[in-house]
Amino acid sequence: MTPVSAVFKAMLAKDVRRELRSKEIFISGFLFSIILLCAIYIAVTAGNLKFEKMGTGAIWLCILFTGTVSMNRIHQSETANGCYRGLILAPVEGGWLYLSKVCANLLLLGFSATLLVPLTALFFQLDVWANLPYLLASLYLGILAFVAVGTMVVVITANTRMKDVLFPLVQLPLVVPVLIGGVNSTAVALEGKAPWDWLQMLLAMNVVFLSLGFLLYEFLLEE
Amino acid sequence: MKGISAIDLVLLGLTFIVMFLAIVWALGVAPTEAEQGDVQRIFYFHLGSIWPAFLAFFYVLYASVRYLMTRDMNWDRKALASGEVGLYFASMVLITGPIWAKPTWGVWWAWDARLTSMLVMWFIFLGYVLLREYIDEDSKRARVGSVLGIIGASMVPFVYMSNRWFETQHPKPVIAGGEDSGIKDPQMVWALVLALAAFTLLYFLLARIGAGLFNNEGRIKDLHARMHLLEEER
Repeated sequence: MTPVSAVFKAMLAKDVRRELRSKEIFISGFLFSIILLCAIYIAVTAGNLKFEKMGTGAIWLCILFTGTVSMNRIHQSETANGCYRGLILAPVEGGWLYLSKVCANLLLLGFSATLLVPLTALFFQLDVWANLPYLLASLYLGILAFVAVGTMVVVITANTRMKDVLFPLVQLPLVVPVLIGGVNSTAVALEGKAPWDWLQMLLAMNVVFLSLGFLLYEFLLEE
Repeated sequence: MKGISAIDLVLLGLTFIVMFLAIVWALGVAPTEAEQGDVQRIFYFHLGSIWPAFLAFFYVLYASVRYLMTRDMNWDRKALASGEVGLYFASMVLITGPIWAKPTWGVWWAWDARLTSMLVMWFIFLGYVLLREYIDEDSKRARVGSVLGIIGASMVPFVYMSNRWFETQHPKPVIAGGEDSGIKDPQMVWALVLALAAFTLLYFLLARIGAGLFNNEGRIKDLHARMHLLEEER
């Protein structure tokens, strides 16, 4: 096995194993999503709006907020016990470490989202069977783009004194295009149509963000 | 020691003259727009500030890449100066916009594609400038800031594209015609061209002064560090 794929696999396995053992980020994140769904329902009905129309928005708000909280937490656990120094010393280019981190975050957030969809369908009376493959494609492509940006930004803001506040402040404006693409793509898929335009846009964003991350992550791994 | 350079003086003089002409043309020479009245005149300054904001963002991208390649602090200072000036211009767009929108559209703010993109861009700029305030170490600040500068600037085309697409999916709100309708009169075109030129010059001037200021700050820091070393040796 080449060192690149060995390091990539070891990193990914480490992240997955840690989460499987503790489950703390998944459980807290998922519970947070459920509370958010309730809050969104209360906020929407207070304004005399039909809550059935809010399903798509609710899914994406949950992904956005839960993703932001979880990714911050994941990175914090990375800095404990000198883990971060281990990353810097890994015998491969930073880009590969970045890709493995993106994969680990995608697995975690993607799994949460997969469980979130039936729950949102239940609470907000969505017809998820209308176009399930496109719905899942919209969600996963959106989450991948979100994670591609977030994996970089979380390391950037971790260098500051105000990391807990700065991460959402820097991350959320950067993912507005992802949010617009994801929400619209999901909404079209839930109507039973094929959201090709939006999926193409999400795909283009993924290509750009992943390439940027691959090239730039190296510069963040210095002490 | 460097004083104020000849280029800065020429730039200052040019900015002053062109800005003066722009104000005269925008407020005096250009005719009053028939439908919107005098409030339309703010549009010259509004559009004038959008262009330098974009210019600033792309310069941040360029200077950040140069910094990461060369690790020359000058490039980082140029990027930061450009980012800060860009933030001011973006703020000006966001302030002049609603002042024009209230009498014309009847509301201070509409979630139009252009407004949303500008607001998001303003936040990206803000994040870039704010991040530096919270990092103490110089080299780390420059390195991390440059990476964020590159990510932020590459996001701008997507912010624009996604908003345009978003708009086409929905019917337009009360906004119709708007700003483009007034630009047929040659004096109005002149006012616009002068305003664009004036704000572009102002951007160059402010970015240069800003970079110079950061350079001096860096030099003072170095001198302080050296003085400390000398005192310790004694």
